[in-house]
Amino acid sequence: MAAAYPFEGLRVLDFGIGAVGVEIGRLFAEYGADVIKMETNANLDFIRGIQAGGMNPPFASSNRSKRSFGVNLKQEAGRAIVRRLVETCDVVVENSAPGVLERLGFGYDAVRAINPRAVMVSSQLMGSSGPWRSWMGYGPSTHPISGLNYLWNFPDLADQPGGSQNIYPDHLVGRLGAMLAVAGLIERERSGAGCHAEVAQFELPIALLGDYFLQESMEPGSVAPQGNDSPRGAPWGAYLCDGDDEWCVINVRDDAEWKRLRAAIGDPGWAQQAEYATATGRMQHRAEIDAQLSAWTSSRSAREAMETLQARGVPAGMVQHPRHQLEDPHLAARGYHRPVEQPGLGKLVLEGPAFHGSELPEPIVTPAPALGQHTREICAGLLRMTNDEIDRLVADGVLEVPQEAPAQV
Amino acid sequence: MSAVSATQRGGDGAGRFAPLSGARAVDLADEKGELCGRLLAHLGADVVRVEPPGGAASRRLPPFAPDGKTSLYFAHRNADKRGVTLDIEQAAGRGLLHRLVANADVLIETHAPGYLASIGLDPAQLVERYPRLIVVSITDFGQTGPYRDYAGTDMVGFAMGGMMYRAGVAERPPIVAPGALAYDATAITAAFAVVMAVFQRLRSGRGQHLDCSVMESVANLSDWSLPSFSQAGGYQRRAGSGIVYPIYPCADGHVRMVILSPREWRAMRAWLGEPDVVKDDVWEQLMFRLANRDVLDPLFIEHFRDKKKMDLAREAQRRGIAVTPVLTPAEVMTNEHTVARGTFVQMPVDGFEGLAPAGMFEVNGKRHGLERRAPTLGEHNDDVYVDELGLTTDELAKLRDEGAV
Repeated sequence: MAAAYPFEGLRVLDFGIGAVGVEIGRLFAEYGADVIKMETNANLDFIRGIQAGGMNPPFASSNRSKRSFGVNLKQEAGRAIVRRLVETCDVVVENSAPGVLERLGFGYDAVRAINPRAVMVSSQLMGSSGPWRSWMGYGPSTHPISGLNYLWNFPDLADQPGGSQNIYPDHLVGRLGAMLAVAGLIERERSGAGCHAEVAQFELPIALLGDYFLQESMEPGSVAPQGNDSPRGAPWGAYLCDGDDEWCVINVRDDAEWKRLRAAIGDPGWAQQAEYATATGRMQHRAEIDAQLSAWTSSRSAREAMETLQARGVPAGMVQHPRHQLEDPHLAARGYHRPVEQPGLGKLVLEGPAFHGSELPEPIVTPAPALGQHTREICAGLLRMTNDEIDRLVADGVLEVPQEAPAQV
Repeated sequence: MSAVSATQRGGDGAGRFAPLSGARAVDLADEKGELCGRLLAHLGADVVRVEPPGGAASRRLPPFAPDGKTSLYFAHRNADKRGVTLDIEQAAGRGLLHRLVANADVLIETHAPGYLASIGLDPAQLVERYPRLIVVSITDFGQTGPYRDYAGTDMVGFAMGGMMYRAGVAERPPIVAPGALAYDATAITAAFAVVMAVFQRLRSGRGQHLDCSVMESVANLSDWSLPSFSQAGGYQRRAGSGIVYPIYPCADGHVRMVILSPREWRAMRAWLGEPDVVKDDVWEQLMFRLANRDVLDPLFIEHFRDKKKMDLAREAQRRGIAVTPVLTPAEVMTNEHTVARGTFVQMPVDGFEGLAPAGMFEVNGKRHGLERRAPTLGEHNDDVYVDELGLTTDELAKLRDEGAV
C-alpha cells in the first residue's frame, strides 16, 4: 500500500511573491497540502507578470499543484473573506516587503487573533528588526550585504565584483522556511499553539559563510576572493572543453587522486614530473598543470572529460547548463524531469525532488493555476457562499476570477 | 561546560520553541551534510556527532584558525552537537552504533552509496530493525542512477547542479561560489526532508530511508532554468552580476541595484532629476530599459560616481529603490544592522575565539542558533556511553584500548 502524503489534510495560505514564500507553498503542495495562492490583479506577483498572458515557466514551476484565490485585500470585504480562510488554515506564508501584510491586517498578531493554531512563516530581506529593516530588495540584493559578492570573485578582479545573477538565496530560504513551517506543526501537536517563524534573507548567505567570518574575525584581512583555487589541492578548477563554452570541473584532493588522473589521461610526460607527485608541488605549479590539463580537456567534450576521469574515480563534473540537465541520463533515471501540460504554455519540464523517501509518495506535480481559477470553488466549498454572493463580490471587484473564462458553466 | 555566550540570551525556560526536543539524531555526516544535524539541534534535537577515533576528515578542512590547523569548517558546522568517537569498521564499534541508533530518531549519513551495506549497516535494514528510525543519506548523486558511484566535491555538485554555468564573467571560466554552497544547501534541503519525515511519523508511526542528492538539491536552486529552457530553448550565459541585478562603482566601492517595477523606476528617475532622455513612459517597461542600457548606464554611473556606498544605499532605500552596498567580510560583521540584530556572536574554537553567525532563523521573536561550540574529539564519550548507554567505565576503557572508540 502506498504511504499517505505527509501533508494531506493541511491547508496553507500562500501570500508568497517572487520565489521565497512561493517555494514554501510549492513544497507543501507537492506533498499533499491544499495550498491556496492568494493573489490579485491589483498587485500582481511580479513573477506572474514577466510574460504576457499571466503564465511563464518560473511561475508554473513554483506555483505547481496549488489553487489560486483572487481577492483584493485593499477592500474590507476582501479582507473579511480572507479572515475566514485564515480560520480554516494551518500555515500562513508571506514574504512581502516589510509591513505590507501588517497594513493589510494579516501580520502575525492579527493572524494569531483569528487562528491561534496557525503557523506563520515570514521572510523579509533584512529581517524585522535592526536599523535597515525597511530595506527592500530581491535575492541578488543579499549578495552585496552578506559578503557573498565580495568573495565570489577571482583575486585579480577584486576591484570589479562579479558574482552571479542567480537569485540565490530565494529558493534555499524556501526550503529553510518549509522546514520551519513543518517544525511549527510538530510543536503545535504538543503545545496546541501556532507560532511565527522568520528568516531574514540576508542572514542565510552569511550563515553559509560562517567559517570565513570566524577566520576574518580571528585574523583581520585574512579572507579574500580565491576564484576557483582551493587550498585543498591542485589541479582544482573549471577547464575549457570542446564545444560552445563548455567546461568540466576537476578537483584533485590528494596524491592518490592525482595518480588516478594521470592514468585517466594516459600518463603524458608533463604529468610525470616528480614535483607534481605531492600536493604542495602541484599547488606551487597550479598554472602549468592547469595549462596542460586544459589542453587535454579542450580536445574532448565536457561529458567525455567527466566520464573519462570519473571512470578512474577522479572528482569531475560538467558545468551543466539547462540543455545538459534536460538531456542528462542520471536526472532522467532518478525521475528528476517532471513533465507537465501547462495551459497557456504547453509541455514544460519542471524540476523534480531533491530527495526520495521509502515512505514518501512521488511529489504531486500538476499545472499552476490561472489567477483566480479556484476563487469560486473555494468560496462555494470552503466558505459555503452562494453563487449570488460570489457573483456580487466578483462584480464589485472584491473577488477575482480568470478574465477570459466564462463566469458560469 | 561547552556553553558559549549565546546561551545567555536564550535560556531553555517554558515557551521555548523546541519541536524536536526529546529527539536524538546520530550524525555520521562528513563535509557534505554537517549542517543538517546542526539545524536539527537548532530545533531542539540532541545531536550526537559520531567521528572515527582519529577524528572526522572535516577536522582537516580549510579555512583554519590562525594556528593553520584548527578547522573552522568543522567548528562552524558542528557547533551545537555533542561528540563521540567510534570506529564503524570494527565490530565493537558497530555494536555501539547499534545501541546509539536503537535510542535515536534520526541517523544522518553521507557515505558512498553501498558502503554502509557492505559493513552490515544497510540503511534499509536499519529502518526495518528500528521501525521508527529515519535514516537520511546525503550523497553527491543519490543512491540510484548512472552517476551513483561518481566521486563528488562541493564544486562538482555546484557545476552538475546547474548553478555554475552562469556565475562569473564571460572572459573567465565559470566560478564556484565561496564556501561550500552546494553542500550546505543540500544539508538544509535534507533537514527539511528529515523534519517532514518526523511529521509524517506522527501519523504513520513509521520511520523511513531518505535519499538526498547534492546534484538535485542544487538543481532546485538554479532559478527555474530547466523549465524555462524546456519551453523556450534558451539560457543565459554568465555575465557577472547580470543586466537585471547590475553592480555599479561609486566613490568608495560598489553598489548593486535592482529596478523591476514601474514604481521603482519612477523613484529612480526622480532621484536622477527627471532627465529628459528617459522621460517617456515607455521607460517604465523593464524590457525596454534592459534593451536600452546604453542610455541608462551612463546616467547611473555618473549619478553614483562621487557618492559613498552607504550613503547611496540609505538614500535609495529611503526612496524605495533596491540598492545595497558591496561589503567586505569585516564590514558585514561590524555594520549597524548586523550589530543591532545580533547577527554574529562570539564563538570559542579550541583556544581561539571569533565571531560566528548566530543562527538562520527566529521563532516568536527569539533567535535560534549557536548555543555551544563544536565538540572536541570524543568529548562526550563518557556522558553518552557510560551515563546514557550504561557501559561500565571498564568496558569503555577496553573499547578505547581496542581502538573501537
